[in-house]
Amino acid sequence: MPRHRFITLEEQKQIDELLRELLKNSDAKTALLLDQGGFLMSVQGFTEHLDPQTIAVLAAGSFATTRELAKLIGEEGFTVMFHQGRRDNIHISAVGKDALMVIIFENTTTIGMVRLFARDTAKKLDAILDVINNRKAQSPMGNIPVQQ
Amino acid sequence: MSTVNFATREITCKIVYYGPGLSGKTTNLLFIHKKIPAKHRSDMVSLATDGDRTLFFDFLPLVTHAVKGFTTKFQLYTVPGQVFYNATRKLVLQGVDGIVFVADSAWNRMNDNHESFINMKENLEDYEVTLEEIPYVLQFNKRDLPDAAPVDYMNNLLNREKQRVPGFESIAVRGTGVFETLNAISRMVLVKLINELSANKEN
Ligand SMILES: Nc1nc2c(ncn2[C@@H]2O[C@H](COP(=O)(O)OP(=O)(O)OP(=O)(O)O)[C@@H](O)[C@H]2O)c(=O)[nH]1
Ligand SMILES: [Mg+2]
Repeated sequence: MPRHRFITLEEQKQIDELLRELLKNSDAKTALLLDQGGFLMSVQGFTEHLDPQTIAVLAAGSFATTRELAKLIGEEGFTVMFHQGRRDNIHISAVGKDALMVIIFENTTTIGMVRLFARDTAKKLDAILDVINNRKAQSPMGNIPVQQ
Repeated sequence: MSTVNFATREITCKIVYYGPGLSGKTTNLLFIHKKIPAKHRSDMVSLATDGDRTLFFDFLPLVTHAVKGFTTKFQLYTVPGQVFYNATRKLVLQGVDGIVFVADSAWNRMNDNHESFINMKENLEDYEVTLEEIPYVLQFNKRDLPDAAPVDYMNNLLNREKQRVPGFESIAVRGTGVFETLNAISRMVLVKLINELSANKEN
């Protein structure tokens, strides 16, 4: 894992756009991209009354717990988690090796649709994240002065 | 792992409060949370047992303007100190940028402090991180206890890596020393980030 990660303007735009496309195609409500530590990289869609940062941290924690559980029973790890509510459902899936996508959707769409487009979007996102994560420490910025 | 986002002009760093059970890690975060002006305050997440012992972690996001032209976000986490929670404790350390080791000053907790410190080094090793590369400070908490061990003694016990680090006396229940500790570690994390960035620029 890199020690620092740099996200450029262009990359952020691409990520946001992919998530918006996913929402349009799958008819889901909200989509978040985060790393496995819970760091939020993008949130798109409906966010009123939602606290995306907290959702990200809890989803990452819960995914990490599940992964460790999987290891204990000799599984390599689960790549999808799905929780069904009365009206809202939450779908958490791995994006490459160190990112996660959280999709919140109502019963107006189906888990099948969400899964289908999530898989497709994950592939595209993974390609962008790969560039970000393999960027050599070389920073595209100058010195950033710390204020005293 | 700190993240610099040029689209949102945000820098995000992760700081973890580590230490033995009941040493006061959660109390540090509770005090910081209480002091954030209401309009900037977001919820603190605590995954705890009925008895208020941390089960997985506490999480508190902080927004500052320590770096010109960037919003600097610190994500504060605590680990569960109880020995048998090591699996979740290790998960919290993933991607850490700076550590506050909260030690309990009570005489009868010296062994636990020491064990927790060793456990921290072992868990970091699993992520291929050593204490030489990660900024950390010590906090000697519960200085109000009548049987508090002398600071020199605690330094001897815990501050014996190649590089000595700052140690802060605190009484977290009253907030004494809490912000001194936080300011020191956040500054150390940022200075390191900026040094590494400018070093890379010259290559
Ligand atoms: N006397 C005294 N008690 C303190 C101080 N700081 C915290 N405590 C008390 O110590 C107890 C444990 O504090 P926590 O902050 O929950 O401890 P923790 O390190 O988060 O414990 P775990 O979650 O089990 O790892 C609480 O009852 C606190 O009120 C202090 O400075 N002095
Ligand atoms: Mg705690």
